Amino acid sequence: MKQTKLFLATTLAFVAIGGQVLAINSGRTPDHDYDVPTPGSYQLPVVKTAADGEVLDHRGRQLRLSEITKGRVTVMSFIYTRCAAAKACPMATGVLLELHRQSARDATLAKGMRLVSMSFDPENDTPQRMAMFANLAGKNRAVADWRFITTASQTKLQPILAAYGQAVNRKDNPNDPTGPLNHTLRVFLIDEAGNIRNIYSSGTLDVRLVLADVRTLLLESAAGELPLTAAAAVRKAGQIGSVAFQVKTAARVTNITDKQNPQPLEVLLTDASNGDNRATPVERASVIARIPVSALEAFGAADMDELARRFEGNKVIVTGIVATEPHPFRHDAQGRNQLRPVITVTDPGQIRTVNSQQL
Amino acid sequence: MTTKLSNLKLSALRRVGVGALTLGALFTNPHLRADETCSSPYLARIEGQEEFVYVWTLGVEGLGDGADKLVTLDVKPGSKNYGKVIHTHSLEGRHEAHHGGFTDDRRQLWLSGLESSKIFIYDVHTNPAKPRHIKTIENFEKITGGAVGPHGVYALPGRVLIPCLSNARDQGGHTALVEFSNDGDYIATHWLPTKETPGLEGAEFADGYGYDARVLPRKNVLLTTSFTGLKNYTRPFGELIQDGEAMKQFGNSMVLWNFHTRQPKKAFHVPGAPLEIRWAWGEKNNYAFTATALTSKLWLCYEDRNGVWQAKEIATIGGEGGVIPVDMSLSADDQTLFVDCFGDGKVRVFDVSNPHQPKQIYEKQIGKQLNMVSQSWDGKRLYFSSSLLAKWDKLGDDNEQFVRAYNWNGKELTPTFALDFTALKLGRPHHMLFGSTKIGNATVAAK
Repeated sequence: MKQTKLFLATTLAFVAIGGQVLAINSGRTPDHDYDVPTPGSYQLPVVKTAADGEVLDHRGRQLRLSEITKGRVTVMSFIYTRCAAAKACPMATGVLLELHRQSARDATLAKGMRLVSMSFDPENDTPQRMAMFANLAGKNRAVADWRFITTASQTKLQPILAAYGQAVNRKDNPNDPTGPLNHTLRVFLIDEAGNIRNIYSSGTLDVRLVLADVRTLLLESAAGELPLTAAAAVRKAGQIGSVAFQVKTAARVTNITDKQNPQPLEVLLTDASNGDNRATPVERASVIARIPVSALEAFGAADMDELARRFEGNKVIVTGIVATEPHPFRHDAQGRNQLRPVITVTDPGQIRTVNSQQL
Repeated sequence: MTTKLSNLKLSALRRVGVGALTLGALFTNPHLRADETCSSPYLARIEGQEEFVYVWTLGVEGLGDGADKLVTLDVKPGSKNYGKVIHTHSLEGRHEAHHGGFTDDRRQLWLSGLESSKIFIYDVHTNPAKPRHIKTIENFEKITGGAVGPHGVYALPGRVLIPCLSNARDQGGHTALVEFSNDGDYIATHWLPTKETPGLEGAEFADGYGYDARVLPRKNVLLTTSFTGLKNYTRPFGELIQDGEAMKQFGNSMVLWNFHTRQPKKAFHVPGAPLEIRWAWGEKNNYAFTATALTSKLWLCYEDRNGVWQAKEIATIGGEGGVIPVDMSLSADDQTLFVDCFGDGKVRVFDVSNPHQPKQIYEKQIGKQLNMVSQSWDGKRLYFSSSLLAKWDKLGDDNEQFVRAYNWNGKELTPTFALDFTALKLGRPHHMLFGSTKIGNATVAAK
């Protein structure tokens, strides 16, 4: 009980003392002396798949970790409640607490974000102890979901720690005033599909950055729809979007108007998913991802033909700013051309080749 | 909920708020940190003095097994093996062993091969005295989309950043920064900006070349420098310098990036191949040093009073003749900068207490050629190594290959031990990194 109070107090002290650290609206602080990028103006490439495992919630109920790392944008922190090192677990919990507070003022965050505090000290952090921490989350349903979980044993815990790369060692001095364990500070940003998209340590755990990243993923996934359908992507014109499709034609487009300069202009990754056989696959395409020649080097391809072949037949998720163009063969009830999404891709990180389960 | 939480907070703060403050101060006490001063601020720190020096060593045909190898030195005070080689692990073949770095949890040491573009990953956690080779990334060029010549390995949270030197298409200097997870899985490639990069301030100076990449977390900036491509650095140096066209293919730029978004923001004209970057460690010291190998100048990249990032030449290294400054090491207190000079084998020491006006205060002949330097966090111990590149090292009697250790008392260097890597049939020693059995929390360092 004493240790739990110390952790809570250190966490809350961090929030209070570091009011400047966590004051999102006041901007820069000495530790984070920069402007935060606009959500959606940058990419967060997939680091790896968030691992699964068997965990216990604060009521002692057994569940799969994947049940609470999918379906929402999740910020997950590994902690132990005996930690009294100000720039470790209390700092991470303080950041989650501030995100939780922010969600009370932002319905999109409240609906689309989840917070998870997971203990790596199961002998001491029992479900009962984690229940005390659950008080941090309160009972207000209009805020983001915040889970406090632990594991039944080291046997259940260790595979999870290994998969997430969460290093934990016992200190030589078990009575160290900052707690008995050495550990890396790890907070994970996980998208709705269960992919780790960022990893924060004490040096990067700026609540403003985490919030910008969460909002970037929420923009990307249209608050719960990852990947987007072609129709949903059209509605996101001008915004970041991720569209999943199978590349049925990887066409190389050549500038045929200049016979002296047959420089290939771009590759179109197209999903020719309608059945109009009179048209070319590109004309039939319901989704187009366009790779301009200026990005050729970024892809490391010798020429546009090679780049076109690289994606033929693949199932991909393409992320970028969604533009639209009239579909040549699809019309609405008034006879107007429907729109189809076009994403211009300049960085290989904007395209992920995926398996069929992800589509 | 808010009321309940506020009550809990207030009452808890009343009880132990002062204690939390005290713990916070304790945890950020700089004397609790140790390590090599050039390492990533995201790296878990050695507690106390370094126990081992890992030396990434180029194999030499006809010398010993001829293979690239990781050599482990015992530097633990009082050890019966102090100053001796206690372990070696040879890889298959020669890859142009060059630089390396740890993952942020310090459990793995990644070593790069500049010519083969392979990455060799060692477990240095299970037994730091005997690093164990656990994985090789063989297909670097393919999975990165054409980047080659992986250079440094820079720890970031849960991942590493690898600045490269070249590309597969023309083996020139246009190259990329590549990210891998700590598991060794590819994450992303970021190509260095060129004159065509939209929205880049100073785009006319951007040449797309790369070398070092280092972060100042407090300012969310990443700085990169520029060297040359594979077709130059694998060519015999004596032949290369006779080729006027080839000598034009060196980097003349530094680029400042938004670290979080990995987007380049500003390019600076820094002629003559700026190499190593050393950010200051002080909490208000928003500047970094670099040195240009071909023009022997010391440069400062700094944030001015208006919050604008600038770059300027601040000193000539070794007079006007050109001494080829290569590696540098900045003391943890930001007062002293050690600059290794390959050309004349000397280390030059600068007082950089005023970073805009460095003053040389000392120089010492370390060997007939000199490349890398690693300094302990307390500034008392420095380790020097000799090799630059397999085909750029000096020839004949000038081709000394060594690791030499010194103590620094603030005024002069005094030798502690020396190892002749040729006599030991090991090869050409290059990057030196510190190891220990005592690794602390991976909290971010002063930056």
